Amino acid sequence: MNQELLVVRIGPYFFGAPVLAVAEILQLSDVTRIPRVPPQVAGIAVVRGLPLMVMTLSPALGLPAERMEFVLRWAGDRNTALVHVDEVVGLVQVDHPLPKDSWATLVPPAAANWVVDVYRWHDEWLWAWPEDLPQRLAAELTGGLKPGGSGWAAAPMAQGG
Amino acid sequence: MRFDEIRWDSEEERALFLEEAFELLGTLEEGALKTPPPIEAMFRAAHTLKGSGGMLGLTEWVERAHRLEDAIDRRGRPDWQWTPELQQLVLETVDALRAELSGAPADDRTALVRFDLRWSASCPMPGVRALQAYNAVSAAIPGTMSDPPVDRLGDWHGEVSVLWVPSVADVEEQVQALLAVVDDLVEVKRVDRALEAPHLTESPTDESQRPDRRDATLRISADTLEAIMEGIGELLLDHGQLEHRLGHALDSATRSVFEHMRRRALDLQDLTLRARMLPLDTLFRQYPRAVHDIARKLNKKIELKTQGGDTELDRVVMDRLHEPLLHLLRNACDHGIESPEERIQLGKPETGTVRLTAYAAQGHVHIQLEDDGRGIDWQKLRDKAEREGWMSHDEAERAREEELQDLLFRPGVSTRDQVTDLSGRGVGLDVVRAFLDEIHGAISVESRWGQGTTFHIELPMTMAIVTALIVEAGPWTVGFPIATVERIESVSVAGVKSALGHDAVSDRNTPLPVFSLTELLDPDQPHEDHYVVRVKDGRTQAALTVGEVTGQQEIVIKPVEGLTGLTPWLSGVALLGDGRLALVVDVRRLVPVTRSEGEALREDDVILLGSNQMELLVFRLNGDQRYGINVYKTREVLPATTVTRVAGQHPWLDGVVYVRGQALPVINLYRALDLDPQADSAPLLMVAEFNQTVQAFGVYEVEQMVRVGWDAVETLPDLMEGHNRFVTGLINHPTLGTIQLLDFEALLAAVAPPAPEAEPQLPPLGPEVTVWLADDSAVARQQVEKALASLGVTMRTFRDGTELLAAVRGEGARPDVVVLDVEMPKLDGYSVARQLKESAETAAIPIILHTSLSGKWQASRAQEIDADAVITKFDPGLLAATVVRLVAARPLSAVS
Repeated sequence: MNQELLVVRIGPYFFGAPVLAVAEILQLSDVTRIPRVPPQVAGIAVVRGLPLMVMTLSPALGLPAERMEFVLRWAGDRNTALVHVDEVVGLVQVDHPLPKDSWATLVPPAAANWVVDVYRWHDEWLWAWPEDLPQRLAAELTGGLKPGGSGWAAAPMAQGG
Repeated sequence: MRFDEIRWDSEEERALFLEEAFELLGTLEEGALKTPPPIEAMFRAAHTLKGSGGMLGLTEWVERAHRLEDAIDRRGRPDWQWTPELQQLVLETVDALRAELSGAPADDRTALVRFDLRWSASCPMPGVRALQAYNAVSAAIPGTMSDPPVDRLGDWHGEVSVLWVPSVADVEEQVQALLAVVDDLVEVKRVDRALEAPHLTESPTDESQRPDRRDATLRISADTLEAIMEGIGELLLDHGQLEHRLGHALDSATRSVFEHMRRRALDLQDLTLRARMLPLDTLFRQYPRAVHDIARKLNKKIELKTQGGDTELDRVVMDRLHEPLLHLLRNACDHGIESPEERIQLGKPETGTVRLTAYAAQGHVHIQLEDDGRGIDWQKLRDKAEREGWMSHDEAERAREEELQDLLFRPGVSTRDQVTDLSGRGVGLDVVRAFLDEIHGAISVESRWGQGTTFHIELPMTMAIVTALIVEAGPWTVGFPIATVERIESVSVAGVKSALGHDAVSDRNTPLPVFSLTELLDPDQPHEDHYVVRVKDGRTQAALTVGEVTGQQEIVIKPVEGLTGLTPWLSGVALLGDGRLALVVDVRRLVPVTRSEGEALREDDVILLGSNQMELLVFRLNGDQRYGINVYKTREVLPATTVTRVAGQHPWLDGVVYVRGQALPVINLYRALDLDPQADSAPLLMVAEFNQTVQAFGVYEVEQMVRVGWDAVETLPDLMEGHNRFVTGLINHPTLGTIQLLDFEALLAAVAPPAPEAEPQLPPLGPEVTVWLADDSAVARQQVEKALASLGVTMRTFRDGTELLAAVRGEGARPDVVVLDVEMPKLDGYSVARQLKESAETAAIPIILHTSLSGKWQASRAQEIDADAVITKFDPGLLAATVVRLVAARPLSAVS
């Protein structure tokens, strides 16, 4: 199974995005943070006059929140969310994914939903994303699937009366 | 050919036909449910339906429309009558045509049977006989058509005419019986053969009656409007960014071009927005039919009354309102209105009434749905709440109806145990509330057991553009819809105190909780707050401290896909001119529940109109003398900023100050009032709006707000009248001492006299018409007298409302029109108006309220009062025209 992946880096890890699923790579100057949302929501960025939600995988990977450098805009609906990455490395042809039982137990539960394949790439592992990554992330937000480790809760609302 | 078989040249063509057809069908349906029905309009609708269907070659369509047209054609038929059968025919035809449009299969239930009528050769006027025959048959069997058409029977001379009769049961026997009484009829013969469409060529006269559709309106799709709207929004954004980038580098000429550009874009935005507004009738007109059908199904008698259908609402909101409203209507018919028998037993009118009322106030559209049915059984709800464990027994018994009503909107709650197919299980009020939540609307209910239920829905007038107050809170820029902002004060002025540990400010002596906006958003965020913004939205009321107040702006609220479910408190985001992103918050969902309980406080929140009270903002200029201005005239208080002098300005003007991009004149009160000019640089700017203009006044200190009754306001002693043109009254306040009420309108008039406008030529009314005027300002009295002089009326002026009332009561004189200032010592204009309208003897006297209060508050309040007209700006022409209009419209009995 021959597939072309866009290799991106988040912290020390490398991920592969199905290249046809990515519409563009944007360099962001400004992401407005939104209060009272789960930590996967990095904020809102304005792309050509359209406010779009920026998602980040850092909390699920146990990484600190970094300054946003690049985001990937997924193809399809122009309202789809953006996914933050630290660096875009390049394109790579992959085949022969590693057998699932060799890595499945290593993936943190919070990431299990969006790591579908693993490849050996140079001396790194390349964790491949599904084509519908933004949708899966959005489903986690609304479906109450909490990312491991962070245990976010909405800011407590003072209750009067 | 049927509709679904047509091969269209373009999608537009199809859409156009559909749109027109649905509109005409709506006219027919709506008309059929009115008493009396607008037959002419319905006839034209049927005619147009037939015509446009004919152009497309829709055979069945044309046949149906033709039959309908004939049935409701009363030309030349003096004995034509609107009957229940005709009503049913109209409704059935509408249904059938709609069904065809929606692609339903052909239905031959309503096929026509042909009868040939042979007339005696010796009959002198067979046409008249044929018409007689047609009338006899069609009265009993609506939908009958004549060939030749009815309108040509008058001069028809032939031997055989044809009647096409709907194939009802026993059609032949019926027709024979009906025609037995018609003379000169030799033979009636049923002709059974394949139905052929009767020839339907139009007579030339028909053509001229075709309603002219080519007037100056275009249909435009909502999407196009939306795109225009977005485009203008982006344009404004670009403008903002350019201005920000070029900033101070702009010379004044370029700046004025910029400003012009911005204003034009705002105008366009406004215009486009207005184009999106539709009268609620567009929605309401669908409901009489729905209620009619529901009532039939339930064997109930229900009348739907609608009111305020001209209230306009954004079509985006309206589109989403239909379902919830229909659901509430069904509920009212099904669960609310009792059966006729039950109603008679209860001593209620047999026919139940459902009333749908709409009105606009305070930036929202309100819709009330009221029925006079059985009401909500609160006890049953208490039992349910206890059974479900939502409340303890005690809580449930003690709970007030407002607390219980919340339970109604929970899933699975019905006030009636029975479930019918109309308001079936599963779709409850929870769905209605969810719908409304999505569009940031609100719903509440009031009900008396046995007497009826009222649902109150509150909707934002438009979802797209709002004027917002932009503030800074910690790292965030936040926008509040201006309609929810009550007041802005600096922290030092607001007087934040601790109320047993919780920060609070005084709101008419009751503690109003203070929250830090930044902390509400993120408790861990460091922040420093300088301003207090009092907000009120529905029942939510609070004071929020914010870092800075940036200003007021028109913003386009954009939703953020994916976030809406996560952040109910966020209405959307807005891109500001400087490129920043503002979070537009929904106050009700952000601020913790605060004052929703205190019913007494709610009553007190707004000064009741006619309560003869006002709120006064008290300020000082120098020394200890305090001055007051009606809070409704003030917009905000700001620290003084650079004032630009303008060459040739009035000596009382300091110049122009830019507040949120708007250039405001700054009036120097020290010079105007001849005070010690110690402080030429007043530290605060008080921005006020009245006479439909905005201006600023430099003041030394803004102290507090007090509520005073107009009866506590004393007019100046007579001796001083005429000298002190700018003081209208004095208040001796128990703690603050004497407060002088300044006549800001007179001050403004002195600085910028109203431009003499070309007065429209109005017919003089003559001295027998008397106009009474109460105004505490001598300047205003003079101006009004001047404005009405051309009418030749007899004027009588009073310095306050009590004098006028005394004259009305004491002398028994009845002026033809009364003009009242709103703000007057002793008794304000609202109270005078109310007292006049409450007395049967004086209720007929037309009242014009003349007020300079022109802010957003006033606009919403003015609708609630008893006056016949409200004028919010001194405009001589408008005033005179209004007097003429009211004099012409007064009831005959009032003419002496």
